[in-house]
Amino acid sequence: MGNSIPDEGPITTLYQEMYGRMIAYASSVLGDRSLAEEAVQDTFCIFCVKAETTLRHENPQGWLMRTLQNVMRNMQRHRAAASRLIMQSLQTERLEELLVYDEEDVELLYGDLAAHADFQLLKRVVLDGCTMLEAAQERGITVEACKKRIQRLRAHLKRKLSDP
Amino acid sequence: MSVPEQSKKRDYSHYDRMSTAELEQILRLDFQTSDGQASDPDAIFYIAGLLANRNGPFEPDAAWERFQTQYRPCADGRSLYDWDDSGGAPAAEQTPPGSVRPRHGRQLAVLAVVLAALLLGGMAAWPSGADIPGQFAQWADETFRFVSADAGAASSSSTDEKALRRLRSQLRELGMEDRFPISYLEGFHPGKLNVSTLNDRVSADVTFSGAYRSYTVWIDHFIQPTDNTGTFEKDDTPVEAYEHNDQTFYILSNEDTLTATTYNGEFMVTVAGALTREELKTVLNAIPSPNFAQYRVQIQADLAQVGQSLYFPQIPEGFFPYSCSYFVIPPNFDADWSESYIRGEEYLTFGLTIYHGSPWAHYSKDDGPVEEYVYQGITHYIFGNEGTATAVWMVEDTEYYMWVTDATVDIKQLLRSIYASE
Repeated sequence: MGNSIPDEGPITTLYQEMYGRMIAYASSVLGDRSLAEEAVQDTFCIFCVKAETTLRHENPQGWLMRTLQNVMRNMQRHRAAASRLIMQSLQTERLEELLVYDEEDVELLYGDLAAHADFQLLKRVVLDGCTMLEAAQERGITVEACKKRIQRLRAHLKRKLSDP
Repeated sequence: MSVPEQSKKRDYSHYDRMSTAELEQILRLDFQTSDGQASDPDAIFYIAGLLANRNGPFEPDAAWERFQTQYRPCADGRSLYDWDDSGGAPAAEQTPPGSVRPRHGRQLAVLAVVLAALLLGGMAAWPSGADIPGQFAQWADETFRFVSADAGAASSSSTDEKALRRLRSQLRELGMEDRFPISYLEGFHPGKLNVSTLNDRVSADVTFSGAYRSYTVWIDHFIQPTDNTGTFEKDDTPVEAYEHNDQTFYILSNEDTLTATTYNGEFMVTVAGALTREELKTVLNAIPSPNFAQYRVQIQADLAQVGQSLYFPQIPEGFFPYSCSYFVIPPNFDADWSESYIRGEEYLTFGLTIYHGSPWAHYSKDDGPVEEYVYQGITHYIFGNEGTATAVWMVEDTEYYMWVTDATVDIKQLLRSIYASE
């Protein structure tokens, strides 16, 4: 399940060592403990995927702190952009028309309902300040599925809203 | 793995005496500077550990369990919040450094050091919160003028001036003074300050009334960062992003009303009224830099590391804070900080540089003499530069400087006021 980590022991030790510091840093910046934990977990995910190089880094603690900063910037930037997208969608007169997926995806039997559900999901994460994990657990889906659905809706809305 | 070796050589225990709020502010400042490189990474590491001890326990075992079961299964090398279709790990935000604020002859010195550091490669200076003289001069020549403190001014102007001073005093108590425009449009008069305390914010607003028009300045101070700052009604005119003094104002149109607003997660400043776009930007141009408090915290921390405290002159009445800057300059990571105040068309600047190597600053002067003014056992060098009075002095490895263009300000009295505040 997931990616195998070549050096589980050092990863675990580093996690134990750095988790508290990273939470403290992220909490100071984000002002929200849940979002701070998600940023920290996200950072360690990236660390693990790149473990072959990150474990051999001369300063893995510094690498983690820098990547945490980048993760938080990503979080703020994309949430702000998505917030504007939501506002733009809500202010348009063709919201119902927007929330219908075009692609003929056999997995989407009810394209309009899927788009509506994805819109609610996006609002939950962006406007309510929910973490991706919390939003995923509310819907009984995985974090990965949550991310994919947000990506799908976001791309769909950007395409639709840019049409004249 | 243990804390990086270098951090063992420096003593960061002075941070132990700082409050949690101050330490969190330092971390926020570290995050906000471009790529966070302007701060001392070892100090940041120490502060994060300090906060972890104070705010813990964090139950890392339970967090590890969540990591293994909830997050790691979907790890693909990209951030959860990387919602673009393109791939790759989150790259550092390429925040361009703020423009350098040249100040007399020192301006060229700072710029030279910054450029030299860049040319040396591998290091960068991270200046921020600065204006260039040209912008200041243009702004001074713009159509609206500052309210004058002249004794011969008309009675209405004198009344407005008192009203503005009273407003600023009230805003200072609310911690909002440095968010408020330091002047207002000609032909308008300030009203009273209205203050409301809500669940999530403290809100203050002032309306400036003209013959047939008015505009209002709102400042909201949020208790916590929020995405629920309200919605603005607008027509289909495109939103304009207007940059000024390290802030981005979004200008919206709604029929005959223009609104400009900016929000940094803590403060939201909004200006709205029946103004032309040029008039609205003139009001925005009078809003000071928001970085005063942050930079003060940072320089206080830097001074504490060398066993010093920040002392400050008594700013003469009528001078309002306008801009500030904070630089960390390699290769020695000298810290340079300054604040500039303005009264009418006169300005006053106070700053310091903490050297970790040889001093490098130089100052422009005219052909007048340099006076050595000894006070409290310290020699202050006072000289002129075509109408500007400058004072420079050293306290151990910290170089202090002050200059003022207003000939009615006694620079020696300003110097003495620094020691009176000790």
